Amino acid sequence: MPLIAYSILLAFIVLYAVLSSIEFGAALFLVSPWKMVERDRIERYMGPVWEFTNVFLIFALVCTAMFFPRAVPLLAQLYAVVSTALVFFVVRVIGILGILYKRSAHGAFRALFAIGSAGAPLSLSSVYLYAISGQQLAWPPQPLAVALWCAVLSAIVFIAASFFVHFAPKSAQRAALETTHTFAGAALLLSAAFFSAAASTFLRPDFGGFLLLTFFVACAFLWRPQKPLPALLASAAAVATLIISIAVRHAPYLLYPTLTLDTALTSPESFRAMLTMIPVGLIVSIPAVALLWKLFAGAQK
Amino acid sequence: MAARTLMGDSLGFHIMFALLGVGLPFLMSIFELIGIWRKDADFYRAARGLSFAVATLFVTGAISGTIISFQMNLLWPHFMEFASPIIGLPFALEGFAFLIEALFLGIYLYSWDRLPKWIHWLCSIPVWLASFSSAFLITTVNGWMNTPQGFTLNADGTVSNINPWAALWNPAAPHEILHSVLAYYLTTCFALAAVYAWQLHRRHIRLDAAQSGYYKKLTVFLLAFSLALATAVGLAGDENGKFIAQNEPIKFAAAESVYITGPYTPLIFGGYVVPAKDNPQIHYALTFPKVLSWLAFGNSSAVVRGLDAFNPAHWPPLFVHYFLNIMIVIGVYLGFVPSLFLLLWWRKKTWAFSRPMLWLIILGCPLAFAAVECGWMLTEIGRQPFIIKDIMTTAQAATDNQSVFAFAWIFPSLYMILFALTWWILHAHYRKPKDFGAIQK
Repeated sequence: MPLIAYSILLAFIVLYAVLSSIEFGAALFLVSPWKMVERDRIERYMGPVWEFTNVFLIFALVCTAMFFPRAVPLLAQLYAVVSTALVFFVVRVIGILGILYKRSAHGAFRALFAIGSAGAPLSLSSVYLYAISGQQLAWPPQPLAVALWCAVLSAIVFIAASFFVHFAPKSAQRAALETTHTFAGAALLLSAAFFSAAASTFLRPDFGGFLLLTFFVACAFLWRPQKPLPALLASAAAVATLIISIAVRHAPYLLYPTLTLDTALTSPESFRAMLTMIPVGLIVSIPAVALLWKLFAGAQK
Repeated sequence: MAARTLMGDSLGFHIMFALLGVGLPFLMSIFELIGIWRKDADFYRAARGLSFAVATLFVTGAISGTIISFQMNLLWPHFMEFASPIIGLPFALEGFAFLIEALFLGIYLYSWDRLPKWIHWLCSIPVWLASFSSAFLITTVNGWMNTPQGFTLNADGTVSNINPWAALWNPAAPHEILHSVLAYYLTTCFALAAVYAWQLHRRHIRLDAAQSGYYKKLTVFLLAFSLALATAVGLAGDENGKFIAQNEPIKFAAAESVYITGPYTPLIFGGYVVPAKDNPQIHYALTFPKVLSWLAFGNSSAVVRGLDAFNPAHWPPLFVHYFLNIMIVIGVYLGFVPSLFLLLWWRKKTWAFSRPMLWLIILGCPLAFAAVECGWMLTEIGRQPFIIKDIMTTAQAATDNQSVFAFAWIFPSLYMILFALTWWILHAHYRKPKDFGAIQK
């Protein structure tokens, strides 16, 4: 039971990380000096879908509270960090409202969108750091935190560049995105290696996971020119591999070293109720996703 | 205190956007249905015009809802630790409702000219059903906090025999859901009617036959619908009051300012509450003999338990009486204005769209929002000092993290900015001149 609950939680974290990386990356590209992505591109390619990526963050939170209720009081100690993330989310939404809904070209909205999109994942990753290391979050940040932040930013840029390369027109933007994708992939590998080394005191080494990560990054590089969609999926798989690898090494702890998956688990009745509803919810949602993708893909032709 | 303040700010802000998120998709769907079925270009245009507002308000509602989701866990960790295994299921289901709403909203907005009209309209149904479901599920959690069930509380404070389904179908939920969701629809109708009434105020619109005809038609529809909703809200409120009298007597006593237990209890309306624990009083109130006994139990000789029947340490703040009275007065106003309007429209149409009548409609918008806020404050503050009635106090549930104070001003400030920006965006969008000639053809 604990492993099933942990797996479901992890699935939502991975989904959120991959999908939201596209939005976060778009914000960073929008303020880049190379103008890799313009507002109309973001609106056209992300417009119908960006609003629901936050759902997976909510699912991750609900799964944590429902499957592992004993973790909640301990996580509440991170109030300042999570609230900082929420502030960044609001700042980001202010930017989005201005850019996509007000259609303002004012640089302030782009700046807010970018600041929020950078700050939110970095703050949330600090929660993840606390969960896996049990360390008090210090300022100035320790090497472990810096490594994780580098990995997060690299992952965001890596996936977002891969997405917009797939959908960008053949222009100078494409070249800039491909270069960015390459550097982001290299940065992801380096920061993942650095993170593993820094976390070796409480995370078991996982050479297999690192090899798999390298494999997917290589696939993304090699497939990029001719097979943009598989390259995008390979980029996503690389980031998913990184998250899952850390989570596997982190087990059986939920919050190191205080709480394990077994001790934090909810009652069997609640577990069964949640397990029943998740597939039902997915059965209703998946056709909707398919229809939205069909409309979205049809509009691009 | 900081936790209460922060949570109150977040909920107070969120409910304004959430209720529009419940009501607007419903109205949008109705407008589109009428537009297609009756081949009415005005209603079809109105549905299309509402899409932008629905999308914008969805964004704001989503972020405030996200904040509340986190704050529930961060500010009330002991409540979430206790309650999640019991009543966590609606939270999970609400996530799916939100996902479905977001997906179908994307489909709906993206496919205005890409799908056949009837298929497009069918896509609106999951949007408003999902938003209704979100309201249903979250209100169910609140119902459980007021009438907890679905578990056995052991002597050592632990719980056993957990039944999440019994917790979900708690006794208070149907009453709260019916009353609140109808109120959301009513508030949304009035909000839209106020916007249209404001447009009719503007001289260049009054002088343009096409535009004024468009806004007048929609205003008539909305106010007729509002009259039906106001009636339904009143009946649901009465029924909810009867339920509270039976099942949450201390909240009922505080709200109705019943300080002494006894039969033939009068209805006390208005007045000034003196909240002394040993001898609470109310001055300058209107008193209607025996009416409260009759309203609550259908019998003027029925005994209504007053606050003297309960431990003073468990009394909620007695100013909840004001929330109830304000809500009722506004409810009467929201029924009176559509009634007056429809009467005038029936007898003399020009008077229905006179400036004083338009101002009465416009005033109804902020009042309707105020009524919803009062209703929720009555529900929440009326349950104090408990967060789960008779089981856990709010003080027991709160976090002891001192950094809460640091954020006590940040979130309200951000909400103000978000509110102002949303207002600015909607105002700028709907202020643009529209080509009524094309749609009329």
